[in-house]
This record gives sequence, C-alpha cells and structure tokens, in this order.
Amino acid sequence: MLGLAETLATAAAIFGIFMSGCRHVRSAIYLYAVQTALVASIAFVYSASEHTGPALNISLAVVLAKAVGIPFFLGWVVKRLDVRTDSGAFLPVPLSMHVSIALFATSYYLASSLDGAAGTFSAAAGATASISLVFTGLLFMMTRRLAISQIIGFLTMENGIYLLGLHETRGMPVIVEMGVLLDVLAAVMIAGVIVFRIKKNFKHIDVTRLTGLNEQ
Amino acid sequence: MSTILLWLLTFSCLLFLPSLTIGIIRKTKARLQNRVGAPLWQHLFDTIKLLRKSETVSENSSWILRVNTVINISIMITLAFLTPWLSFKPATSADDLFLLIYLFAAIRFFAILSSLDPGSAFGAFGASREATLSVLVEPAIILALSAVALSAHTSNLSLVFALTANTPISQAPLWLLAGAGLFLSSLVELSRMPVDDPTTHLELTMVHEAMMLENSGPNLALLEFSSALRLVVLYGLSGQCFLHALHCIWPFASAAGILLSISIIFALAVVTSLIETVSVRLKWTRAPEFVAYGLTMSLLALLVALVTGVSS
Amino acid sequence: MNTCIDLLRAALVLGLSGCGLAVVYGHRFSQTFFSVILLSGSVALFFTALSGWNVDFIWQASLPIYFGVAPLLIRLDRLAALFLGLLGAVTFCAAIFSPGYLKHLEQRLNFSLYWFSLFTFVTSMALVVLAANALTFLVFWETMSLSSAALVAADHTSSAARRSALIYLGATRLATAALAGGFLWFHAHTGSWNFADWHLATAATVIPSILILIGLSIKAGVWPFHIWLPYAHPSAPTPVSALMSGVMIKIALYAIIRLFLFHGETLPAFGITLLTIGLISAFWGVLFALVQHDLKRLLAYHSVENVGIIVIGIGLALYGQSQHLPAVACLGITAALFHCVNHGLFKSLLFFGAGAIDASAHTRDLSHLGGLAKAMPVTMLCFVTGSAAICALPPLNGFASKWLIYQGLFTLACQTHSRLGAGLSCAAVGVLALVGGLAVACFTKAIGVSFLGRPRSHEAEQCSEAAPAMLVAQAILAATCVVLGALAPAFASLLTPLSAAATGSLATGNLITLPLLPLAIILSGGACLIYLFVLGPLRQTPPRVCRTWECGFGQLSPRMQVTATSFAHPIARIFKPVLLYKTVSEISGAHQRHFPERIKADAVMTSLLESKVYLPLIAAVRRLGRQTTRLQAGSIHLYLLYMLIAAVALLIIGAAT
Repeated sequence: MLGLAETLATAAAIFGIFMSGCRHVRSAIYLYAVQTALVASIAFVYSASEHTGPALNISLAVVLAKAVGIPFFLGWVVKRLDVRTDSGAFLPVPLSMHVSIALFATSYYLASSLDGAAGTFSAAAGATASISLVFTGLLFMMTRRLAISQIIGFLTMENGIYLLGLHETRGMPVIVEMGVLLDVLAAVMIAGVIVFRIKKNFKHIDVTRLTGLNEQ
Repeated sequence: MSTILLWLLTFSCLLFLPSLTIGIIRKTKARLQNRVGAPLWQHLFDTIKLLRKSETVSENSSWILRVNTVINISIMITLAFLTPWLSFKPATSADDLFLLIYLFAAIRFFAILSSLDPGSAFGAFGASREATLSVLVEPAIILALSAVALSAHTSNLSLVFALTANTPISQAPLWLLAGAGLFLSSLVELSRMPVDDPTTHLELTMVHEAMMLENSGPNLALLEFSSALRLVVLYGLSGQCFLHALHCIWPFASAAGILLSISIIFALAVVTSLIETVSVRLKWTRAPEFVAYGLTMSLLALLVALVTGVSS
Repeated sequence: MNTCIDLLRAALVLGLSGCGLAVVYGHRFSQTFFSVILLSGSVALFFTALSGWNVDFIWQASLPIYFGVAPLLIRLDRLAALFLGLLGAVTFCAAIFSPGYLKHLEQRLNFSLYWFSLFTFVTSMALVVLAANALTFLVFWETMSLSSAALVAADHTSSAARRSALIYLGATRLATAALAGGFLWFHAHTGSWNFADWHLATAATVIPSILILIGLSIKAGVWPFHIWLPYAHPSAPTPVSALMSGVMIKIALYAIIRLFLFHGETLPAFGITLLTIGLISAFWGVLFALVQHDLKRLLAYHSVENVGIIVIGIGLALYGQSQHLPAVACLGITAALFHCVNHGLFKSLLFFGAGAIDASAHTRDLSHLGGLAKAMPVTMLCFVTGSAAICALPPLNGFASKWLIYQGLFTLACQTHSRLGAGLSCAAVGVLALVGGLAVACFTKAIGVSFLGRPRSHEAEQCSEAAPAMLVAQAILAATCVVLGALAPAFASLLTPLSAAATGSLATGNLITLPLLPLAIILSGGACLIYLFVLGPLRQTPPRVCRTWECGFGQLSPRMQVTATSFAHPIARIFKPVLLYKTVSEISGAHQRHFPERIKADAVMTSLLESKVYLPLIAAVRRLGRQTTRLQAGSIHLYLLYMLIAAVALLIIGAAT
C-alpha cells in the first residue's frame, strides 16, 4: 500500500514520462507544470502530516513559484519565440517515451538496491520516482532539438533531485528549500534570456545546428 | 436457470448493442455538430436492407472474398462469446488471453487478403495501412491485457475480469492504465478518428472503408455487422477495465454491474464522438505517434503489475 | 524393438543403395525411380520413429566401422525418434513432390550428382539425429553439411547458386570448427566422447559450451549467424530447400536441446542469453522477410524468425531449470519441440508452394506474379493454410506451439522472483506480439501479391496448376497442419514425458488446456452455416460480375496494383534504422512540374549486419591474409631460417616444460 506522498511521486514520474512523449512544446510545459505541482505538493504532504518539513506558507510559495510562475514564464517565452513543435533529434519522440519507461524500470531496480530496505515497491517508490525524473529530464534534453526544450528537461531533472532530497530527509530545512528555489528561478530567467539572444543572433533555437563552437 | 437468463441477456446484447452503439456515436456526433443526424437504429436498418439486396462481385476476385466474410463473422461471434466484455457474460473454458489476440489476428489476416483480392489499389493500400497499424497496435493490446492478467496470475480472462470482493485500492491505477491503453489501441484497431476517419470517402486516405470497397449486398452487411460487433467487444473490454478501477474504489453490487457494463460502452461511444468532433485525422506518417501513446499506457500498466506483483 | 532395428536397417540400406544407384545410373533412370526409393526410405524412417517411440535402444558398431578413437555409437530414444519422424515425414512429401518439380530443371541439373547428394544428405541427417557420441555426430554432421552444400550448388550453371554455396560452405566450416573445438575441450575435460557423460552450461564449462552453442547456432541460422540462410535456401532446388529449412536447421536445434537441456541444472545466464537471442532472431527474421520480393528468400528469412521462436522456448526451459521453476521449463521445452515439428511441416509446405509457382511461372519474383488464384487454386489453398499456420492463427498447429511459448513466458513472469526474468519475459510477450503482427503482414503480402489480383506478367498469365503429385505432397502437409492444430492437446501430452525427463519433474499432465478441437468445429461449422444461409447458393439472385472499382476512369492495367514493395513500405519506413531502408526516386523532366517524362522509384535496403559487421570482418581477414603471404618470399634461405627458428623454439619450449 502506497502512502500519499509515494503515490504523488509516482504520478509525477508518470507525468514526466508523458511529457517526454510530447511533440508540442506548449503541452510539454503544461505537463511539466502538473508534474511540478505534484512534486511540490509532496512537500506540502510532509509538512502537514509529519511536521518535519517547512511551514505551510513556504510550501505554498514553492508551488506557486515552480508550478505556476515558471510555466507561465516559459509559455511567454514560447509565445515570443513563436515555436510550436519540437520534432526531436536522434530518437523519434514516441520512442523516447518508451525509452523513458524502460528507464523508469531501471530506476526501480536501482532504487530498490539503493535502499537495501526491501523488494517492495512502497519502500522504493519515492526514490524510484525521483531517479526516473532525473533520467527522463536527461533523456528529454538529449533527444530534443530546441533550446527551450533543454530548459524544460533541465527543470525536470531539478525536480527529480529535489524530490530525492525531499524523500530522503522527509522535508528539507527552509533555508535549503528557499536556496534551491531561488537558484532555479535565476537559472530559468537567465536561460530564457539566453534563448532570446540565440534566436536573435542565429534566427533559430535548434541546438543540433549549434555545433560551430568545437575546436578544429 | 440464472445462467440461461444471463446467456439470453448476453445474446441479445450481442445482437442489438453493436448497432445501437454505432447509432449513439453517430447521433452524438451529429448533435455536437448541430445536425439532426440519422435515427438511432439506422445501422440496423442499413444492415437489414443490405441483406436483402443483390450483390456485385469483381471479376478478379477469388474464393477469398466469400471465405473472408464467413470466417470474419463466425470468428467475431465466437470472440464475442469468449471475451469477457460484459461483466455478466457466463465464463467458458476457452477465454484465454492469447487465443483471443490470435483470433483477432485471424480476422485481420483474411480481411487483408480479401482487400488485395480484386486487384484494386485502393483496397490494397488500405490493407497495407491496416497491416502497419496492427503491427503497432497488437503489442499494446497484448501488453495491456497481460498486465491485468499478471495481477490475477492467470491468463484466463474470465477469471481475470471476474469482479472479486475486497480488491485493494492500490489496484485501481493498474486497471485505469490498462483500460486507457486498451481504449486508445481500440480506437486505432477500429479505424476511428485520430488515425482513420470512418466517414471519409476519399479513397486515398481510407483504411477500413477502403478495405471493404469491393464488398456489397449481404457480404457488406455481414462485414459491417462484424466490425460493429468488434467495436462493442473492444470498448466493452476497456470499459470492464475502467469498471474494475471503479470497483476498487467503490465496490458495487453485481446487479449494478449489468447496467454499468452496458452504460460504460455507451459512455465510451460518447467519448469517441467527442474525440471525433474536436480532433482531426492525423497525417498518415504521424499515426504511429498516436499508437505510441496506447503502448505507453500498456507498458505503464505492465510496470505497475510487475512492481506490485513482485512485492506480493 | 526388433521391428524398429529392422526398419532402421531397411531405411539405411535404401539410402545407401540410392546413393550407389545415383552414381552409376543417375542419367539413365527416371526421376520417378529415385523418388520411389526415397519415398520407401522415408516410410521406413518414419515407421522406425513410430516403433522406436517406446524403446530406448543403443547400438555400437563392431570393429570394421571404427573411427580409431571412439566407436560408432547410435542411440534411438524418444527425442531422437521425434526428429527422425519429422525427417521421415518431410522426406516423404519431398519425394512425392520431386518428379513433377524436377521436370523444369532438366537442362540445368546434373541428376547423378543431385540424387547422390540428396540420398547422402537424408541418410546423414538421420544418422546425426541418432548419434550418441561426439565423433559419430561430427562425422555425419560433416557429411550432412557437405552434401547439402553440393545440393545448394546443384544448379551450377547459375552464378548466384555458386556464390550461395560458397557462403554456405564458409558458414558450415566455421560451425564445424567451433563444434570441434568445444567437443575436444569436453573430451579433455571428461575423458569421454559420449554425450551422456557431458554436462554443458555449468560454471566449469562455460567456454566450451559457448563454442558448441555457436557452432550449432550457425547451422540453425540463429541471429547473428543467420546470413547464410537467405542465400542458401533460395538457390537450392525446392525439395532441398524444404529439407534444409524444414529439417536440417531443426537438427542443429535438436542438438542444442539434447546437449543443453537433459543434464540437470545450468547457469541462468545461458537461459537469459538464449531467450534474448531468440527474441532478436524472431524480430530480425520477420522484419527482413517483410521487405523481400523473392518468394523463397522471404521464406528463408521466415526460417530465421521461427528458429528464434524455438530458441526462445529453449531459453525458457534452460532458465526455468536454473530457477527451479519446473512448470516454466516444461512449457518451454514442449513449446520448442512442438514448434520444431510444426515449423518443419508448414515451412516445407510453403517451400513446396513456392516451388510449384516457380515450376509453373518460371519466376519467384513477386513483382512478376499475381492472379494465380484462378490458375492454381489448390496450390493457393495449401499455401494459405501454410501461411495461416505460420502466422499462428488458431486453430492451426502454429498457434498451439506459440501459445505454449506465451504461456511459458507468462508463467515465468508470474512465478519468478527475479526482476530481470520477469521484465524480460514481459518484454518478450510484447516483442512476440509485434513479430506476430509482422508475420501476418508478411504473409498477406506474399499471398496477396502472388495469388490475388491480376497477373503482372505474361508468365503469370500463362500459369497452369501444378502436377497432381506435387499437389498431393502439399495437401498432405496442409492436412497435417490442420490435424496437428486441432489435436494439439493430445500431441502436446505425447511430448510431456520428454519434458518431464528433461526437467526431472513428474509429468504435469495436459499442457494445452484450450479446447482447440471444439473451437475448430464451431468456427468451421458456423462459417458453413453462414455461407449456406446468408451468402451462398440459397439466394435467388446470383451475384453480378463487374469490373473492379476504378473511379470511372476505364479499365485498370495490371500495373496499377500494389506491389510487394509498396505494400511493405509503411512498415519498412517505421523500422528504417534497422533495415537501412530508403527510397530512391529519379525524375526526368522534373522542371515540367506536373508533367514529368519518366519517374523511377525504388526502395533500397541493405542488411545492417552484412554491411556493418561481416563485410568489414571479411576485409580484415583478407588484409591479414595479404600480410601473411609476405612470409612466403620465395627465397630458400628464408625458409631455412624459418625452420631454424621453429626448431630452436620447439627445443626451448621442450626444455622449459
């Protein structure tokens, strides 16, 4: 029987998988928002049930900033850049979704050996979900063409790391949480600005074509 | 006594539900598009009319034409008796998961042959597309069904789909995901909207209609009935998955199951007509992407089944 | 017991006398004469198997036939009897099929050589199955390989056949080398040549077991060693391709089953490896079969698929044994044996069908066929039956064995505690479903393009039905497919003692719980009723015959039909990365946008393994060879130097030990 936090974590990982199968950048952002909301609400659950996490209002701030603010900002960027779909590089998009399912299975394998605790899923669910999110984010960054997708992939990875920390510590201290949040916000802002600059200079944001920087 | 009653009920569902469900899809779609639409039972009227008509046969066609029709309809009726697509259908000893999948494959085998039979390029391209889609869909269906079978530790679908008391709530995601996988796959299998438009008459893009192009009269009637039956059986199967998810949360009585399992087919029909109203037909080269979502649902269901199965 | 020995003796005598007669009178006697000898030999073989089902007899040669190291040792047990029976059955049909088929090859074959090789081939196959020690096995294995290579090259006027025979010979050399290495190691390890004393796939015998496995898999055509198959099978005359594909590759699998499965516990890694390789073979074979347009080549690639399915069964059995899951092992081994028999039957049936087309239309190229349904209705009926069986459509025999594989995988997923095993078996179920879908696509293509529609060439138009004897051969096999399918539960329970012997468990009773016979009766009865009452002769108005719908543009030309390539195109496009598939089009006059003069489109497909692995490998070997030839400089002083170096080195080594 899964606890509420573990269920939410698994759901977040599954939404991450769905995200990796999206061709539309905007739907990927929506799915990212859902996934982040789920991740952030786990902190909420911890603070409400075990009184170990940060206070309720801070969790609420996290939810607002990450699940509403960042997607909103990214949506605005997408609208300004006028991109719609990301057809994917190296791997067809649907296939990358199936690969991320395989990675989910792998992360279950890793997580259950990591905990050492048991072969039961409930013990390993949180860790599984977080490792899977990291993998999914990485795969997303690897198999996508547009710079904006790289940001989404990066944010998914960040979600995974945050979730792992949350799961292991059962709620992090306020100062850590705020620090992470600020870092992410700053990173997203900077990345957004950089994407604008890339678009302005190169007339596109296709990462596969940005290979002129190698040393020859 | 009650078994006979249930068989009678199953039999009448088998006779009337296909036409009614098709009717509901068409009627809802028409209402959603601000049309009045044909009567609810139009499909049945059409079938009866076609049965009484004489037929035309291509000069190039061989015995495959007739064999396809009779095999198609006889396998489909057998399948309807074997598949637990209604919760009250009495169990038989042969409702094995893999048998069902391969009976569906047998139908497809002869359908593809019969559309290649008259030597028409339309039919042949429809057949080629059908073969492609079935290659992609078959794993999704078999994986979704084996996910639920795995949780029950048997491949006999009647046992798998039997509503047992006290199913833990943690089984709900498994049933939901399997149901979603089956539903998405059956949309493809039945040549419904995002992949094929059942109402189009542009031969170049058709799948299902193109394959039936050379059939007429009673031949066509039987094939139409068989494909409608296939629709309710597949919808019923995915509907049963959703019902089980519901049963995990709110255990309903078996009498309610009779009503629910019929109404869930209607509900899925309404969902289909909604999808067909809001979405457009995908470009053919993009169709595999839609199929991939069905496969994803099935794979996730399987993952859930494996993960929870190992722990138990 | 005695009848069994007598029958076997009769079969061998018939085989050897066939050889002798072929050498002396090969040109003078008719094909029917030799076919009758082959036929009676195969009958004797078949009844040897039947009477040998319940006896376990061992025969050791006395002095005159003696290899010097180990005696000629023959053992007929139930496992051998099964494969002997298969050999007898397929040879029986091939003998019936032969005279009619060989007629169109009369100018091109050297019949003396052909019949000599064929008799040698069949006899040596029987003796390989019966061999009970490594040397006997190896001697007849070699005879089998060489005689079949001669048969592949039988049509020696065609350069393609010569090339195929060379490729095949190369593959058999490698196989024998690997096998001999493994056998020698085992002899050194155990001090015995008897298979009964060997214990393969344990922790102590990993390397020789792998060597033996490689040797046998090359012969069986398992991925990645399958590349000789699509060359050798199409080049050989049809009875030979049927025997090679139906029986010879099964004999390699038989050896795997005999050596690996009947000796108790093994390493789980072997089971996992075989399972994975089997999956890849099945997928790879069917995918490449789909894009072929030579009918026999298509069938040859399908052999790779079916061998893969059998290997999955063997892998399941091995893994089940190692994990102490007797139910899984039992299902796996029964499935493997059953599928061996089934594939032997329907694959030879399909090869006969392809041969009948070849004999009548003088082409196997699907793009020149079409519309044969009218000219060859019986051949088509048999071909459709065989295709339905190979696509595992119920209630035919292919379904029964595939169902056992599925059940084995499913039981493994249910029972195992290993995550790897559970995950792999679930993945295998998905891949098998994919393979099933591809097989349906492939065979509907083969039937649809060759038999249905309208003739695409003059040859196809002039076709006539095959000779009655050829039809009889096909009809026997087709009927066997149907009967074995409907009676599958009974046949599977015949195999249960074998699987019980392998797993060491008690017989688990009836494995196939499906009521296949009632199902078959219901389906066919229902179909007949519907035909009679709704569609058929009872209707007043007969159907009107009209032209195929052509959008009102006038008569369609035969070239306006779908071709084999375009039918397979959508699937080939999806699996582009594996097939290295691309379409090349050439448009002349493209500047006249809507009215180009000539458009040429073609699909190009290269085999990934051949172009990326084997060709570079062969090139490397050649380079190495060129380097080595430098040693042979032609100077006598240099050679004397070599001798000196060799002598000194030998002395030093001798002193050191």
